[in-house]
Amino acid sequence: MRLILLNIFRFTGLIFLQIFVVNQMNLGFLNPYISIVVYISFLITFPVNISKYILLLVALILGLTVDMFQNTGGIHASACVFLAFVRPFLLSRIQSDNPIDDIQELNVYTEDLQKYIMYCFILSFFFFIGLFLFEEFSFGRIPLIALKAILSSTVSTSLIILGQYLFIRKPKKQ
Amino acid sequence: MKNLFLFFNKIKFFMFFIFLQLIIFKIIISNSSYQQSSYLNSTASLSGWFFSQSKSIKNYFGLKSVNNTLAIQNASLKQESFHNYTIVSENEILINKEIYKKKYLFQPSVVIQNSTQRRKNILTLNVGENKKVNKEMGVVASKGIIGFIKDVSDHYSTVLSLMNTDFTVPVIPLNDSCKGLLYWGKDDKINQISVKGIPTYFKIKVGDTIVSQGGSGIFPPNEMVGTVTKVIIPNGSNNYLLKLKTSVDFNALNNVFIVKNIYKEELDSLQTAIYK
Repeated sequence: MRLILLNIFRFTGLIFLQIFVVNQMNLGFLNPYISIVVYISFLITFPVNISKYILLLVALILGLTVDMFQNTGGIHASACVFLAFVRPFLLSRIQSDNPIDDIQELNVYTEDLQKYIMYCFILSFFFFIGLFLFEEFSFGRIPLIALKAILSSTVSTSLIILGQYLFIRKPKKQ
Repeated sequence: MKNLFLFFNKIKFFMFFIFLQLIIFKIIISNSSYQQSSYLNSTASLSGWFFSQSKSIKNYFGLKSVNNTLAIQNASLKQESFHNYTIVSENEILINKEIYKKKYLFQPSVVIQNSTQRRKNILTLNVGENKKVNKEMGVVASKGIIGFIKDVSDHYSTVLSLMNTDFTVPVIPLNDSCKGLLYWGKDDKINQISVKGIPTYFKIKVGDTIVSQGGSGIFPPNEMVGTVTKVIIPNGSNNYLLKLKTSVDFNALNNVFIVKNIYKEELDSLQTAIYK
């Protein structure tokens, strides 16, 4: 119960942060190349022991909500669902010291930092590839899309990791 | 048969993923053609309400620049005021009053949401059907044209801006008559725009002003678009490719006007009657 409330709170908080703070930032000449997305942190930290089908549905709702605010008409939803689809395969690759059922959520404290940064980067890279491909709607400019995806996922990953250090409380050692 | 079921069981997660993607694909397709109304946009009352709240806070920070543009606009309006003209002859003015009839009305409004990062940028305005705003009305700022209305709800409306790959409009150089087509090309950055289709026997040089043609009745004629920064003649072509700098800064939009053409319906019915 506590977990559901926490996730609902995180959902609304991250969308507010994305729409009213992050989207208002102006990066000058870098603007066409970097788009910062922090709300996918919700999907990255989503509890592991919940069914992956529910994760897909939650990703759909999250993406559609962001689309409604940004007038993007579905591309964020598509990219989010893609991320949620990739995540279970990536999770099975990560060798964790703790048994996976004990972990409530995946954040910087429950995982090895280096491994966690890699995990965030790969997920957000897949997200941005999906996002930019759907935005262009053609395979004509793959190199530019790859460049944009690498830059954007680097910046977004570092912001997400920083944000987790700021907002998630460190669990007590047992 | 059993193997088939086992196979489906194996790929059911993938099937579910594809199913969701198809639903989203349907939504994207129904949104991308701007003639159809879309429900998933910021004219929806919930997100519209949030944006107008955040705009009311942000307005305080832009007051200085808004004041400046308003003061300049006031000054130019004052110059055109009736009292600044000397009456040459009583008759002439009486005739003038009967010849000229107002054709365009301007509805002031405020941009509550603005995007410049994407390939298809859309603005949201704080007026809608309550102020008799309809689809395909033009939107201008005091410095030049912005776009046209895409969707309207009760209190909000979305604008397809110049910085959108779907946007085209006929334009002409100031004091000339050769028509070109304005579009936002693939390589154009923000506040840059391209014009194609002007034949090379017209003389055009860097620094020339390009204005709207006004033929479609969406924008008034001679509304500023931008100034030429680069004149290119592609190999083997008889037409110029012009690169313009827009007169409006799309990163800093605030107060805009919606253009209502009083005779638009009449013009449309006449023009479509030809093709029937």
